[in-house]
Amino acid sequence: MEKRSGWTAFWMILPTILVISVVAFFPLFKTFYDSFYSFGLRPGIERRFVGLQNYFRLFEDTRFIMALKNTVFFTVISVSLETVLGVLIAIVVHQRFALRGVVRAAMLVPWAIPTAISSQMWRWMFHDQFGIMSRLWEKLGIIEPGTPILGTPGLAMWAIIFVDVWKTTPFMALLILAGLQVIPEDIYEAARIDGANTIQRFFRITLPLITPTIGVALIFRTLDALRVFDVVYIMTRGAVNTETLAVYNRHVLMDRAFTGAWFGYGSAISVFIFVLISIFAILYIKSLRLKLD
Amino acid sequence: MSRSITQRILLYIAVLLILIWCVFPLYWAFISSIKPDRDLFEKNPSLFPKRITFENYVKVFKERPFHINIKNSIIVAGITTVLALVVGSLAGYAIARLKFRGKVIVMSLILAVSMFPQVSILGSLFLILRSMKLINTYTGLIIPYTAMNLPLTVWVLQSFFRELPKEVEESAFIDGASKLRTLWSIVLPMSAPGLVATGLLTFIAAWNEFLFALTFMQKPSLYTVPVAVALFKGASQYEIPWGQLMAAAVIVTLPLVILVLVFQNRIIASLSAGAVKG
Amino acid sequence: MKKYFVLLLAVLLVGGLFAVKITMTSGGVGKELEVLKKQLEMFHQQYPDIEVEIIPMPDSSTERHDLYVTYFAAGETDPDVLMLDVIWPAEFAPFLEDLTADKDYFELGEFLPGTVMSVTVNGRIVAVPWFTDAGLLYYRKDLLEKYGYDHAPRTWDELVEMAKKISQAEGIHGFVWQGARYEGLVCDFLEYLWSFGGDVLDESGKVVIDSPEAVAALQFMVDLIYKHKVTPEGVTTYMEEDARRIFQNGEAVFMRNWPYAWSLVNSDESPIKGKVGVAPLPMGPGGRRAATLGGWVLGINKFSSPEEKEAAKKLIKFLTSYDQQLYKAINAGQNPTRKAVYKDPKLKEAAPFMVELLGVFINALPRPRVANYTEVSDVIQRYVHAALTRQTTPEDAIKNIAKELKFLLGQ
Repeated sequence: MEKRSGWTAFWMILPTILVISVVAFFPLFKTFYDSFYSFGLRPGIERRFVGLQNYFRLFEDTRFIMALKNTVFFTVISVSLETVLGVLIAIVVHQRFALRGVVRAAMLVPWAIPTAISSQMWRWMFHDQFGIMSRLWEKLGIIEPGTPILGTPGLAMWAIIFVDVWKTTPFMALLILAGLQVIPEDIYEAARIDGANTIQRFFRITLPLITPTIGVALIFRTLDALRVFDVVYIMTRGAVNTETLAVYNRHVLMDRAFTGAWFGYGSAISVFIFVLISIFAILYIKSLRLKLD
Repeated sequence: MSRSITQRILLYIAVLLILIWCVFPLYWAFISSIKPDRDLFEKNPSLFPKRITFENYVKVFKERPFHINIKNSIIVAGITTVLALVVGSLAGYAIARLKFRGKVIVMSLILAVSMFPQVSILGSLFLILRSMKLINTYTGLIIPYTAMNLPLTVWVLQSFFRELPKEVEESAFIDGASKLRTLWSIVLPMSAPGLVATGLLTFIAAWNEFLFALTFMQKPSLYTVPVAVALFKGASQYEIPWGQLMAAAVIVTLPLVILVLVFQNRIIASLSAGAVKG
Repeated sequence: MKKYFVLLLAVLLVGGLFAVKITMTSGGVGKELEVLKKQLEMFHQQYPDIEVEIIPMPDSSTERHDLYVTYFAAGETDPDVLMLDVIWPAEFAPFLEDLTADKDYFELGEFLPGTVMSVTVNGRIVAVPWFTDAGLLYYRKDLLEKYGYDHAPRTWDELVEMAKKISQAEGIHGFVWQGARYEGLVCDFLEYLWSFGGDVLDESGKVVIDSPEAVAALQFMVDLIYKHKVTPEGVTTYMEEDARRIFQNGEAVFMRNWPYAWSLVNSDESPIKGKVGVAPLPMGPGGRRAATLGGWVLGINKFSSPEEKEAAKKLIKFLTSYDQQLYKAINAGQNPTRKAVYKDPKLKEAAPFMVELLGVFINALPRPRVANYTEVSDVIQRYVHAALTRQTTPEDAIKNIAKELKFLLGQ
C-alpha cells in the first residue's frame, strides 16, 4: 500500500477537480477577463476593450464606496460581537449544570434555520407596527415610538447586525467550547492553589489557551461576513444605507447590466471582492496548518 | 470546588438567557402562525395567543404552490447531496489513503473553492449557464451546488477515512481487491455514520443556499424554498401575509431542526474538525 | 345561390384558419378590466379574425416591471401587446417593435406632445400613448373666496402667501404633497425643478442638473416645510393617499396630486364636497409652468411573429382611436392622450372636470428617458429626501445627484 498509486488517485480525484474547475475556477478567470471589457446583457451593446478603466471608475462610484464602508462596518461589528459573546456563552455552557445537553442542542437551532427563513422571521419581529422587537426597542428607549427600524438609515444596519449576531454567535460558541473542552482541569487546580481568582484564571489560562481556536474561527467568520448577502437582501434589499458589497455587485450584474454596458464594470467589482476575500482566505489556510501526509 | 449561591444563580440566569436567545424566534414564528389575523396585527403583540387557528397552514398550500417549492428544494438538495457524496468520497479516499504527488496542492485548490465569494463567480456562471440553456433548470443549480459542497464533503470524509483502522483495507488489498473495490464494499459501509452526517450537512447547505437560487431560477414555479420564502407576496404590494409566511417558515424549519438535533454530535464533530483540529 | 354560399363558407373557413390569437397585458382588477373587456368585444366584431386574450398583471407597478424583465430576458413571444408605464419605454426599447414608420398610421400628430415624447427613444417610436396623467394643484375654493382671493395662485410665491394667510387663520396645513422616499417624490421634485427653469438632462442626454435653478427649486421645497411652514414636516412620509386624506378631511388649503383624487374629494363621503377647485401647478420665477407626466402606453413585443405584430398594430390603433379613448374616458375615468377628445361634447357632459385638464396635460413633460431610469430615480429620491429631512443641504444634494447621475450615465 505504500507504493505510489498515481493513476488510481488521478481517476478518483478527477471528477472533483473537473466539477470545481468548471463551476469555480473557469468562471473566476472569465470574470477577471471580463473586467477589462465594457459590455452589457442588453441587445445592441457592443463589447469593447477598456483596459483598467473599470477599476479606475470604482473610485468615482459613490455607491461602491458606500457599499465598501457598510461591508467593513458590518464585518467589524458583527465579528467582534460574535467573538466576545461567543466566548462568554462558551464559558457558561462549559460549566456543569442540569440540562446542559438540552442547552447545547438548543444552540444549534439558530444555525439550523435557513438564513432566508430566519431573516423573514426577524423582519416580522422588526415590523414597524406589529413587530415585537420594535415594541421592545421602544420600551428600552432605543427608538421613538413608531420608528420603522428597517426603514431608518443607521438603525436598519444595526438590526441586520443583530440578526447576524443572533444566528452566528451560538455556532461560534460551540466551536470555542470545543477548544475549552481540551483544556485539562489540573491547570486550573494548580492556579487555584496558587491563589488566582476567577478573573485571573480566565485571562491568564483560559484566554491564551483558546486563542488559537478563536483566531481560526475569527478569520473564518470574517471571510463570511465580508461576503454577506442573504440577510441584507431579505431584510432591506440594501436600502437605507445597508447595501453591502455582495448586494451591490449582484445589482450591477443582474439589474444594471440589463440596461446598459455594465457587466464588465460589475466584473471588476467581483474581482475586487475576490481579492479582498483572498487576503483573509490565505490567512485562514495558513492557520489551519494542513497535515495531510 | 464549591460554587457560591450567587454564582449559581447568575449561571442559571445566563443559561436561561441563552435558551431564550436560541429558541425565541422560532417560538414567535410559531405563535404568529397560529394567531388569527385580527390578533396578529395588534399594536402590542401578546406573548401567548388568545385564540388559535391553523388556517395559515392550509392557506400556505392553497393560496400559493408552496408544495412545489418544497419539491424543488428536495430535488435540488437531494441530488446535490448524492453527487457530492459520491464524487467527494472518491477524492476523499484518494487523499486519505493513497500516496501521490501534489496532494497538498489538490487539497488547497479544493479548499480554496469554499472560500470563493459566490458573488464573484455569479456573473460568469450566469452567462455560462445561460448559453447552455441551463437557467431555470434543476441542473443549472445542482452542478454549482455540488461544486460548492465538494470542499466540505472531501475534507470531512477524508478525515473520517483516516480514522478508520487500516488493517481491514490492507487485508482486502492482500486478497487482491482494487482500491475502488475496497472503497465501495469495505470503507464506505464502515464510514456509514460519517457519510450520513456529511450528507446531512451537504443537504442543509444546498437547501439553504439563496444567492444562486435567486439568480438562476427566475420562474416562480421553480423557486426553491428560501427564494419562495424571501419573495413571499401578498394580494397587494403593501401587505405581506405574515401569518402565512410564518407558517411556511415553521413548516420548513421544524424537520430541519429535528434532523440537526438528532445528529447533533456528529454535526458538531464534523464542523469543529475545521476549526480545532490541525 | 349555392355557389355563393360555398364561396362564403370557404372564405369563412380560410379566414378561421388564419385567425390570429394575440395576448395583451392589463391590470387585473376593477373598472379598468371591465372596460377593456368590452372594448375587446367591440374590436373582435370589427376584426373577427383576431382573438385577444388578456394576461392579468399584478397590481404593483414594480412587480409588472420585474415580470416584463423576465419575459424579455427569456425572449418570450407572449405577451404580444404590453401595457407599459410611461417611464419604461427607454428601458425596454431594444425589446419593443420599432413603430417609427407607423407614425401616421397611429396618427401620433393628434396626441399630446408630452406623451409622444415619452414613447420616443433616441429618435425611435417604440410605443403608442394610451392614457395619461399629470400633477395638478387642488385648492379649497371656499377658503380662497373667504379670504378675498378670486383666482388660484399663479406663481409659487402667490401660493405661499395664500397658504400662510389662510392656514394660520384657519389652523390647518397650508400645502400638502408627496415627500416620501419613493417614485412620487421624483414627480413632485421635477415639477419644481422644471418650473424654476432647471432640468435633469438636456436634449442630448447630458446631465445638467447641477445648476443654480435646481438648487433654488430644492431650496424652495425645503423652505415650504421649515421657513414658510406651510407644509407639515410629516410630508416626508406622505404618498398620494396620505396627502389626499389630509386634504379631504379639510385639513389643508392646497394639495398637489393626480387627477384620480378629484372624484374622491367630491364623493358624498367627502367633507369638502363641492368646495374644491383645480388648476395647473403654479409658475416658477421664470414664468415656466410644469407638470410631470404619468399614464400608460402600449408597445409590441419584438419577439412576436409577424402575423401577431400586424394584429397587434390593429389592436393598438383601435384602442387609441378617438372613439375608444372617449369611451374609456367616460367609463373608466382614464384621461385620453388625443387632444381632440377633450373638446367632445359627450365628454364635457359626462366628465366636465376632465375637459379642464387639457390645459394641464398640454404642458406635461415626461421624466428622464434613460434605460436605467429606475436607478436615476433612486439617486434623486435619496438626496431630495435627505434635503427635505435636513440631513443635507440643497446645494450638497444637487451636487451629489449630479455626481452620481454622471457616473450612472457614463459621463
